[in-house]
Amino acid sequence: MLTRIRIGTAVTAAMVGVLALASGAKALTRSDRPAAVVVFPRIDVDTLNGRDTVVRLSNMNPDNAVIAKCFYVNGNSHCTNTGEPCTLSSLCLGTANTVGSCVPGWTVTDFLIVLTAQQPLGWLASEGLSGSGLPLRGPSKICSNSTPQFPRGCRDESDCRQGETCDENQTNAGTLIPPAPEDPFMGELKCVEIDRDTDSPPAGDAATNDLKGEATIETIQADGTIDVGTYNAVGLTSTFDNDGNSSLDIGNEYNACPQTLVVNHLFDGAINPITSPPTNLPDEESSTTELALVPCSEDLTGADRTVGVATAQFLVYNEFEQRFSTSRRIDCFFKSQLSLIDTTQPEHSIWNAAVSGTVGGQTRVRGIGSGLLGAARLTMTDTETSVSGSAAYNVHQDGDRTAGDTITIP
Amino acid sequence: MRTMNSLRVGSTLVACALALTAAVAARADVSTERPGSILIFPKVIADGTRDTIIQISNISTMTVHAHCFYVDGSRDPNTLQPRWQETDFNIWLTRLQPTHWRVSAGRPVDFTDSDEGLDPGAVPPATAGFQGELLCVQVDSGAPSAGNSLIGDATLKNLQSGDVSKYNGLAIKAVNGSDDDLLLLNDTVATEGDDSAEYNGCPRALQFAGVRDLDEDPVLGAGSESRSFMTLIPCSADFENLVPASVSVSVNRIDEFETQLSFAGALNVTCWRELALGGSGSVFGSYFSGAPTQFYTATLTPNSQVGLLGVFDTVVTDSNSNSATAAINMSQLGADKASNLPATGPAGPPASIRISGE
Repeated sequence: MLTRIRIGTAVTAAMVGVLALASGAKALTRSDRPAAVVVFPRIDVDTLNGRDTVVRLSNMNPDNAVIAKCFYVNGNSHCTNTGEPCTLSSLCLGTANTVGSCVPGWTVTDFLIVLTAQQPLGWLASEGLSGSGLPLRGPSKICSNSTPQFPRGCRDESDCRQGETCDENQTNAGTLIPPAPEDPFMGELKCVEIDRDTDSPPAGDAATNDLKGEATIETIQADGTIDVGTYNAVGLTSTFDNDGNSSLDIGNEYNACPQTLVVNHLFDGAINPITSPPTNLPDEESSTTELALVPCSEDLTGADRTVGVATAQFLVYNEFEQRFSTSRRIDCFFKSQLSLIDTTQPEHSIWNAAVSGTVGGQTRVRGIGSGLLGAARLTMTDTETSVSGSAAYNVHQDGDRTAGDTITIP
Repeated sequence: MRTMNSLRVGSTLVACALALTAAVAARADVSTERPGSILIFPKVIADGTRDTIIQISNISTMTVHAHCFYVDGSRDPNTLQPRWQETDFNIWLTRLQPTHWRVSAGRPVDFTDSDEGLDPGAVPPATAGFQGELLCVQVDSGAPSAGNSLIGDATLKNLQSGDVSKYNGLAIKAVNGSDDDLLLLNDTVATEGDDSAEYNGCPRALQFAGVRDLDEDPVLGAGSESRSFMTLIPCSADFENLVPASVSVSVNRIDEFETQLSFAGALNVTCWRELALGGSGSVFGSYFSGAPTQFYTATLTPNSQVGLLGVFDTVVTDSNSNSATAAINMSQLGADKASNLPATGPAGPPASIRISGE
């Protein structure tokens, strides 16, 4: 009897261990692997001020074309009086010196992208890509010895040369990438692999993880210098257990979003560890970091705007291991300089180097109500010359959300 | 008799459980976002023109020790071979502590200096003209530890232009860890069911997306130029015997016309190598600059189990010669359904990292 109890205990322990590891092994929300859903947390267009984003999306499947249903989520706020995009209410000046309010909004623009086997596609967010700009345009069927680039169309084998067959042709037909819905535009791009026939994600084993994306944000600055930063789109990989409907169960059908985002950063206003020459003079060079966050849960049909509303809890650690904390509501899109997250006066922020007391920091971000994904941007500025350089980068992830998330697509 | 049956059932279940454990754990490999027990920065420069800030954080609630190795891969001007000079040091981080240092200066243990915070240990300055990698292994009392507590970032700055680029350190997760100084990166789909896995395997291939080399930049337009570089290191290393690893790599480029073209030349990576994808002197000739479309992807497949890791950079220059650099982590393809690569990799023993004793 005792033996059976021991065996039962051993088996239970082993199975619990397996379940724990299995759960841990789902940690595949990653930007460095192909996935079934890719999220670009920050797309930035402001052509008047020389800023645009180059978006690249690739199909990693060696044989099959994939169709991605994509969504620009417009995170711009707008003036109540003029309807113009804004960042502050003080910018909402109407006629007769009236001042409106700058109100957050959320609009979704959806479109399709058809990628042939292993094809990369790139476009400027301000311009989009369609029609004659598509690389592979051609008939739906071609003779077997012709190429996608120089296709010879056919209806059946009688239209082809002797010995040739009339085969299905992979093209970009059906792709219509619109320009970003506004200029300036600040928001998110999300692409979901779907089945051509059902207009929903492929079910079961038919699911694939074929999409890989990158975004490059480029700026021509006021002084004529240029700035560029690139990050990888964050991918949600399919678990091959999709039910094929338009409600994406993140955590079951797709691997879970991270429990915590971890940002390695220099505190805002910190003297750069690298100065040229290294003089350690105060204010010679300083750094700032911007963080963009988007919720894992989203209703992209627009029916329920409360989906994805989250509270981001920030825990900030300095190099003395001291902890600071704050929280902030996240709607559909959030972007802020770190030292403006908790206050309007950056010099009093917990992310200010003078407050934190050290140069380097670790910020841990946990979403309550929805998981979060994000990207960061570091800017180093020479305060004398105002010359700045910046770099975009992916934030780290720790753990997996046990509470699931849902993305609903139309 | 019933006890025997129970034993058999129990043993079977435990065996199934262990097999399932291995199968499940085998899905992951090197990560640019998740923490690990081995942290690798493939591109660290402190050559007088550029300098690097290393940031490492402990994401656990326990104090963490790490044994780190700078590997100078700059070329000896006489032999034109990589120097492969190794400098090792130890760091320790208290619970959830971040730290940073400038590679050219290091970070001495000095509570009176301007570097506020708990000094992570005596971090030496890199040797003059340093071009190479930094690798840190989480240890406990000098022996490798499977804590998976390290994440990191590297920020490179051009000292003349002020240009900045940043990428994530590559983390290799420990599965069971190692009980000696030879760390086997042997947890792959091909070895599913093998419970001797120590660390996750190296990726089967690397992939990056680029803009045709020497072409005009899509945003800057006429008169601008986009140039790309990749920095590659073998996944394996031997710090005990100071033997640089070497790996040959197959390169395959695919453009927007879906045209595939394999690089006909030989690409070998010994120790550390930074390569221009185009321009005069590039080993690739017009392979990348002659792509028929502006955007392409390329896959780098190591031809042995030695494995390959790397970082991709793009430098854009406008018509006024202003330039800016962006670094990005390469994508990693493993031998699973998502990667479309065969489960069985090249023959030979798995990649490994042999660390020296402290």
